[in-house]
Amino acid sequence: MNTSAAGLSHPGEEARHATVAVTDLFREHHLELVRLALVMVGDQETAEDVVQDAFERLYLGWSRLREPSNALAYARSSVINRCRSVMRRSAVARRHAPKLAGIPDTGAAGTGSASEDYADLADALLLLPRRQREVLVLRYYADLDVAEVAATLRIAPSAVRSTCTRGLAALARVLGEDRG
Amino acid sequence: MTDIEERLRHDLKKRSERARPGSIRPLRVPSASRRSRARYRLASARRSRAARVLAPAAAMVAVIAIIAGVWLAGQPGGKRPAVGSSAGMPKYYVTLNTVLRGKSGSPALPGTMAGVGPGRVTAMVRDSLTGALLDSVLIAHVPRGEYSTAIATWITAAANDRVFAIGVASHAFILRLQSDGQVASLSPLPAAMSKAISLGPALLSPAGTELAFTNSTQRQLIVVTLATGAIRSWKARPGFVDALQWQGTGNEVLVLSGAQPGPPDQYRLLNVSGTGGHVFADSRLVYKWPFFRSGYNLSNPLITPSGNLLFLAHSVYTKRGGVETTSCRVVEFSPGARRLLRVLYRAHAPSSTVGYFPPCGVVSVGPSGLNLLIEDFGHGTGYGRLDGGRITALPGWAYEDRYPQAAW
Repeated sequence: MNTSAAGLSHPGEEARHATVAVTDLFREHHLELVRLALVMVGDQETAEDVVQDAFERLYLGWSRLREPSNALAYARSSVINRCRSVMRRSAVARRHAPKLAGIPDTGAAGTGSASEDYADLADALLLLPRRQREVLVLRYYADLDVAEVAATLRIAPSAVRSTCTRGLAALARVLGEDRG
Repeated sequence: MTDIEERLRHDLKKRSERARPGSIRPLRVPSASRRSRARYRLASARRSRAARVLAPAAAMVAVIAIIAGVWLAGQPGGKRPAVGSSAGMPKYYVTLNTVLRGKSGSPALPGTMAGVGPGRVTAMVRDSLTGALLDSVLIAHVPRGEYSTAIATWITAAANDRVFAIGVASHAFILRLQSDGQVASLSPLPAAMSKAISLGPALLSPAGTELAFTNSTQRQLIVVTLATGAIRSWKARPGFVDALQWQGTGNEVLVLSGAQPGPPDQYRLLNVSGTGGHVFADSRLVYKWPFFRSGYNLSNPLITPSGNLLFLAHSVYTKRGGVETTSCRVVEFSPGARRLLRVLYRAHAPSSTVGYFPPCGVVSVGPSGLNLLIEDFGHGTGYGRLDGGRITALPGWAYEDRYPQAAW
């Protein structure tokens, strides 16, 4: 176990440790987290902003971190959380966008024509309720097991399983398929 | 793995690969970072100073409140729920506390990480009326270095408030209580049976003689008779099934299932008195779920033993003035009329204090249907007893828990 943070008491030393640790984490996992955010929000620029915010928060909150060895899990949760805020904000923006401006309704787009194009399932995912989207991305993109997804989203493992089932069924329905 | 799972995995990978190392723009300089860091440190210092000054006062207020509460509880005309409303309530509730000595995340921080062993999983028996701790028993040691995320735990109660089934990782136990709430025995289930149930959560029948659970793919509901180890199963293919609650005398289980094609969106009462069969053939529709795609956080509904009322909690996230708030309602539905009857309880909490936890959820419905045991993270103590719309906070939720769990 990483216990190095526990022995640090000098504020300067602590800050230096945070810098080193966050830099290492950034170097190793930045791309991975941007990709996670990208599949969540569907837009690379937003995904980059989300991940940058998450790293800033991680750095500022490093001293409060109770288990620095698990900082990746914290960063992942933070990214999911930020994505959630972004999606919520964009939903509000869509709701208030002038209808006559010809802004396409993304909520209905793509549901009618399911093709074999790979983009369809990733797009269809954006139509699902937030919780289902998060569970499916963590399960099938991040390859986390049920317990890890439960810990990341702070929900019960049984809720992960049922949400996953519902999400897959909803995806099948969106694509006009039967799960079988 | 199904076709859609494979396609999803493939499509997400493809989508994610649009972000390539060369295509990601350089980091922008955080705006006023020094100032914000200084502000952050100042706020932390203020918080800690305030905590130092206010902690003794808060402790004093808490002690006075507890003394006043105990005094009021002893008064016939006190402000606790009317006796009628708590009649028929289970006498004891048991919480499952996973406390790890390796530091675990605080719920005050969204997205905090898992705890890590060494530690222990303990069952704590508490009085349903007062929340007083009556007894506790060690269920399992968590080895050093074991992450709490690897330890799935569940607990379920029989209707007689004396028998509980507990699962920790791949081990299952039966906990029996004496009439005064002291632990009478804790016996492990046979290894084969434990392994089958290990995915949990399982549900103990009202008489405490059978356990119901679903297999890992949720295509089958399995009922095990504890005394003999006999297994009966109900297939759900091509649909899915999730066991939710035993009903009445123990001949029926409320399940969440669905007809093909479509998601599992029907609450059905499955008759499990036979030797096995098919979920759809042996069940009847109780309630068709109307909120499948609402996007709300909905707890699984629980139904009264009589089958005429459904209880569930749902939570909504809102953001006003830069503050994220999570609101939660516990509501009562009529399955017959298919409509909302009343809102029993509302809770609000800043999202920063509840993290990703929905701030409330229905844990258990008392046999009389008048009392609910709820999770209530916005309230402060973690659990609450809801008697006809009146909330009484109950202790038992430890902040070190990954999955706070209780049953009555």
